[in-house]
Amino acid sequence: MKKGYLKNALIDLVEITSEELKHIFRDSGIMVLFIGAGLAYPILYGFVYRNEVLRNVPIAVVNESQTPLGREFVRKVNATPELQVAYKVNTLNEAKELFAKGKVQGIVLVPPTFSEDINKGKQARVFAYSNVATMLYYRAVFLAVNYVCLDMGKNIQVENLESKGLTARQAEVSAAPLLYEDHALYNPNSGFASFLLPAALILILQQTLVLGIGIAAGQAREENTYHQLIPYQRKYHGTMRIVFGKAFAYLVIYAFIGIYNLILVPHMFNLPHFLTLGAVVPLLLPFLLATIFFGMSISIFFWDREIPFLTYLVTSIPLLLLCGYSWPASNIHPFWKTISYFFPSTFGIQGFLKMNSMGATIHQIGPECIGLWLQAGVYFIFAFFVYRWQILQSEKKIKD
Amino acid sequence: MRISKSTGWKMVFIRELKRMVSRPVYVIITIVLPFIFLLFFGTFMREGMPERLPIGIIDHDYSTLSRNFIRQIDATQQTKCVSYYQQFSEARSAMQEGHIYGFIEFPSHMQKDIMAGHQPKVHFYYNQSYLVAGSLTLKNLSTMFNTLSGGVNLETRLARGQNEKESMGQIQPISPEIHAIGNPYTNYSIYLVNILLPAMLELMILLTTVYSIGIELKKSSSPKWLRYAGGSFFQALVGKMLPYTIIYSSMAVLYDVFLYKFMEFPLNNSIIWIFLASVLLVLTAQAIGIIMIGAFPTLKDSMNFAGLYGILAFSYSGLIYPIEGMPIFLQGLSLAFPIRFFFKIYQCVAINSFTPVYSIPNYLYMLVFLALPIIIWKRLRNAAIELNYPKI
Repeated sequence: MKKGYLKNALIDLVEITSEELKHIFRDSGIMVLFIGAGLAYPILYGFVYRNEVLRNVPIAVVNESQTPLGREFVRKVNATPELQVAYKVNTLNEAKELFAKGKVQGIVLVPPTFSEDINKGKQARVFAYSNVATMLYYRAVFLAVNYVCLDMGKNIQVENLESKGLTARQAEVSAAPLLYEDHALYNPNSGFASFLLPAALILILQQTLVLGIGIAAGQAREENTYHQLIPYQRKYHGTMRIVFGKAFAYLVIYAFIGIYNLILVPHMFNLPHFLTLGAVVPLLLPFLLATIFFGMSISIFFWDREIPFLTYLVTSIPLLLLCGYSWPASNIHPFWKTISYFFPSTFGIQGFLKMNSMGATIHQIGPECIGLWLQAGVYFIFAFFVYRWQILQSEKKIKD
Repeated sequence: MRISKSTGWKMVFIRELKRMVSRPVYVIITIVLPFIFLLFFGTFMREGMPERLPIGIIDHDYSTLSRNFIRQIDATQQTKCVSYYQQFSEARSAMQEGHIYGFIEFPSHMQKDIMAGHQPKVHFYYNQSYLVAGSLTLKNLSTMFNTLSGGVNLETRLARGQNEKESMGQIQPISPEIHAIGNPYTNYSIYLVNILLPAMLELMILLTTVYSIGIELKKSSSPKWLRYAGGSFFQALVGKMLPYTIIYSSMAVLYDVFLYKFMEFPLNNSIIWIFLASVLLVLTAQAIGIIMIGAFPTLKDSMNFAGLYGILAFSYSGLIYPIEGMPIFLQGLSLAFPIRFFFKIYQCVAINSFTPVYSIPNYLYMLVFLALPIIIWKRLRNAAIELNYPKI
């Protein structure tokens, strides 16, 4: 008896899974989404952010101190990787004009007293103005100008001390009694792709999967006579079988798309890639399960196949902010933090970032894994009741 | 069925309004979601700058000097020393687990070595996987170290009998003054929300436009839609789009009022210029939506492409990563996104507050988008009349 039950359940499961797979592969909408967004989007983004860092941001220089020191300063600014002196103009107004026309993103002004102040031992000042409409421009101006000021300043200080009779070493020590060195342990080049893409890859997996499940559910509702998620058929009476059967279909497809996104794409674009094929499984599995059951749960709201796109796609950008990798997690309001825990991407992105970009082991991302398994469990229960309710509804309609 | 005598865009307009109240989804996409966007972006980055970012300390020196340094670092707004570690591996592990964004390692005998002139070296490790938090902690810490090192330098000089003012000129001969135009405190809310919020609305409008037209094709109700317009496809389209134009334009203007009047984001020109750009953004999104459904008259395909395009628009605004930083062959694509021109207008008119004259070309570029539906005009009209497109 028990044996026969299990066997039947297994046969049903396989049947439901292959049925769902057929639906998916026949549906051009879902296929475009899975292949177009799931496979092609990462490539597109990989190319768009391929250069990783911004170099040679064009600036205008107003050098009011036409002295060797003033010229040295400008030369040094131009030599930084961040900035490029695209225009040398005589007045600040000319520079502003170039700025307004979008020809330059920053202005450096060396005042007329520059050399004089330095020679007198007074503190000389330089002024920089940066476009901050894009934060990376400001970053470039800030880093480059600061670096040149410190570097040139140190040389001047050492020279002054030497002229006062200190030995080179004494001058060196006096100018910098304490040395300081910074090391970026992860993403050392401050690469933009290395920062953005890992998170985007997880988000792409989640969003395409949830949309795909939603579209399939909407489609089923449009087709089925009573607009329920499940057609009324004799074999469709085991809710558990239906939920697992459908989930398994998506799991199979997304095992491939997931490995492609999380292992292959980072290698292709030389993004951080600490994760190996074997190590990704304990993260990918709960993430996919949580996402699939989440998708199945919320498909209760998807009355037709357009609703997911209309209402769910817009969550993508807020989710990218909510997961705490761009805007620091330590600074997210508890209200929004609570909201973020409803989405697998929050734990998925953090887990993936920690393992893949920083080389954390699966043991180090315990909280993320627990979060994902909890979501998988809770959303499975939701999905179960959603489907159970839908089955009962269609049975009722049949009897009526 | 009662056939109305009068036809034209007004009849289509009324028909569309009736359709919109018939299903809750229309209320969700035109009213509810846009308000949720406002709530989210209006509150999410309310601090402006991430503060009190957690960092760790490894203090091998444990001297009065190192403790003094830690106190000074802790007193800054940007970073907060949250935990102490005995060794590097411990601190690194904490960083991998996301507890801290960086940590400082003070070498042993630091204080003694400074006195002896051995130039001890302090190390700071930070995490650029979190680019924003990593960069901010680095910026704060490197500034702090220059101050601390300068402080030691100053004390030595004062001990030698130099006066303070003279010493400052010696310690830091060149002092930079760097201004972030329009956003002096590099407030992230000002930086991002001005563009992200309209871009969210743009995505919503794009999808709504595709849906509102595509659903007529899908349900084969488009011949009826055209009958209401008296057979004129132009009037049919205008009547259909107008309710959304009105609702979304009002929403866009409301966003602007919220940002520039209520939140007081930088704007030294008349807000009319921003209103104009916002309404143009609404119209261009509708135009592109029409192009999408015209190019792929099957609703499911055009929804897909509108979605892919709408998400890509966030990258191609150039807000986060400048277009010039992209590979050359991908830079040209930015011309296909009205949000790119909107962003340029915003830079000129709002944050940098130059005279709007400089952005007139960008307003004109946006106008060009409104003419583009001509490309698919015939195809969409035929699809609507003859229903000659593949159905699901």
